Amino acid sequence: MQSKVAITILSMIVGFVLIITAGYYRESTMKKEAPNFMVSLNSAAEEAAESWPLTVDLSDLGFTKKVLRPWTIHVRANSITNEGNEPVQLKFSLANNSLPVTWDSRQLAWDKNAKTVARPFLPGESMKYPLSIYFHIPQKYRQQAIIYNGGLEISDVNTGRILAYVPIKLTNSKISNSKTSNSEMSTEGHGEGVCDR
Amino acid sequence: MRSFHWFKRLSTIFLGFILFFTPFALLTRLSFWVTGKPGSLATQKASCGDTCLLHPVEWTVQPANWIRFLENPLLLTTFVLVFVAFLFGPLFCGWLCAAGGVPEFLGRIIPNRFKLDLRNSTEPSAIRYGFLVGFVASSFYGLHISCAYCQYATLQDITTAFMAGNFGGINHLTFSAGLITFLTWFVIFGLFTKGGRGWCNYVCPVGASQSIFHWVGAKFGFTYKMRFIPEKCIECGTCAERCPMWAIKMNPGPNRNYHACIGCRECKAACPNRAISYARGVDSEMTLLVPGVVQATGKD
Repeated sequence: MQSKVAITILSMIVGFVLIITAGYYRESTMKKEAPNFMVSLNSAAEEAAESWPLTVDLSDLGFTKKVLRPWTIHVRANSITNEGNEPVQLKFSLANNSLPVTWDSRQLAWDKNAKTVARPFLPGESMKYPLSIYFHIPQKYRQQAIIYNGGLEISDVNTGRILAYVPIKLTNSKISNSKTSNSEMSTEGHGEGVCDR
Repeated sequence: MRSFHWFKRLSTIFLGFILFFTPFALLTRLSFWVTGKPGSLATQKASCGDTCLLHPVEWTVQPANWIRFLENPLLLTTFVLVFVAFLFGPLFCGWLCAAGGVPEFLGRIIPNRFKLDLRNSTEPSAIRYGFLVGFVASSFYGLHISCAYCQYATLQDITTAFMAGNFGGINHLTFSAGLITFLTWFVIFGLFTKGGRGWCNYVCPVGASQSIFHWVGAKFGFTYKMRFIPEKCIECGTCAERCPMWAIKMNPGPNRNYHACIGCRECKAACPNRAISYARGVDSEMTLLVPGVVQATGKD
């Protein structure tokens, strides 16, 4: 009986430790693997709003992702807020991109062909999870130090004005390091812009 | 009788799927149709997140988040489920939960010889309660576990992608925690574990919270529970073999574990001698966390 109680207590401790460990593992990998951003727009502002840069280093992914799905990178908007006084209609586009991309949104009015939210985005409104971008990295780009260096442009369909810009960079530091350490190998042709982005 | 029971459960689990998960999410749609969509949800696609069963468990110790129940009363579903569990057992787990049902039923296609049999090697209920405590406590460590390791969202991501033909956009298969969830919930502890409910057995905080209430409720005579009739039992072990939650162990007669039982009644359907019933009544002897400590007497 005593040993059974001891096993029970031990099992509970194992469960507790496992979930807390899983939590820390999630914390250590999530930002590196699936970065997200929040941005506040103001159509009256002179300059476009800018989010913090989102960078994913493909050689610094969590073990599970590195093994199972390293060539699909998910970048997500947690929220977009309209801090201006005018309604706008959002359109999303990627600057400098030639990678295959899947777009998705939790917005009901999402138009997947036009990459727009087909309704007025009212002043003071905040959209939750309005955008997910999945970059699929083809074989030919995988051995580049910089796979993508561009950003997400959020513009107003009606005026065409860019309201916000989110810098996005997909890198592979292992390639970059090996290139740096090996003087015989040229980095020419592997840098920014080579993918016709 | 067994095949009919199998079909009944499969039907209700499909009902659970269309109630909670996109593209159907009927519960969310129906609720919003009746009450009007609250706040920012008005502009969003329906999702299993609208009736999230995990967050409320986490929020029980976070008063700052209680306001969210006012913003979206659908989140109170968790509390309805624990109330039902108190009176009737964790029927949601056994009859409606698609995240538990899908691996259980798909796993039946795979021959048992390819599956892990962990029934006698671990104490799943105790590990699951440890998980539950850790899950609730995780917020104090600043950890955000519920969404990253969410079996419901993983199922929804995959089925939605299949239905929409949008295979590139399966959110939970793009980061390590999501991949671990998929591998453990669906593959290792699902398809390749006996019973197909290894995740429910070891991990699920929603099931664990319901099991606590079921265990307490089973002490009262007015609640429903699985009951054994010892004089009818021929100790064939069929019930223990069929239980997807490993809630019955033979010693030599059946010992049931209320901490694992999900009220699916697979044991009742499988029993060749009708020695198991689902009924009300005082249960004088309760199993502890470890099955086998107390043998069932089935006093009615």
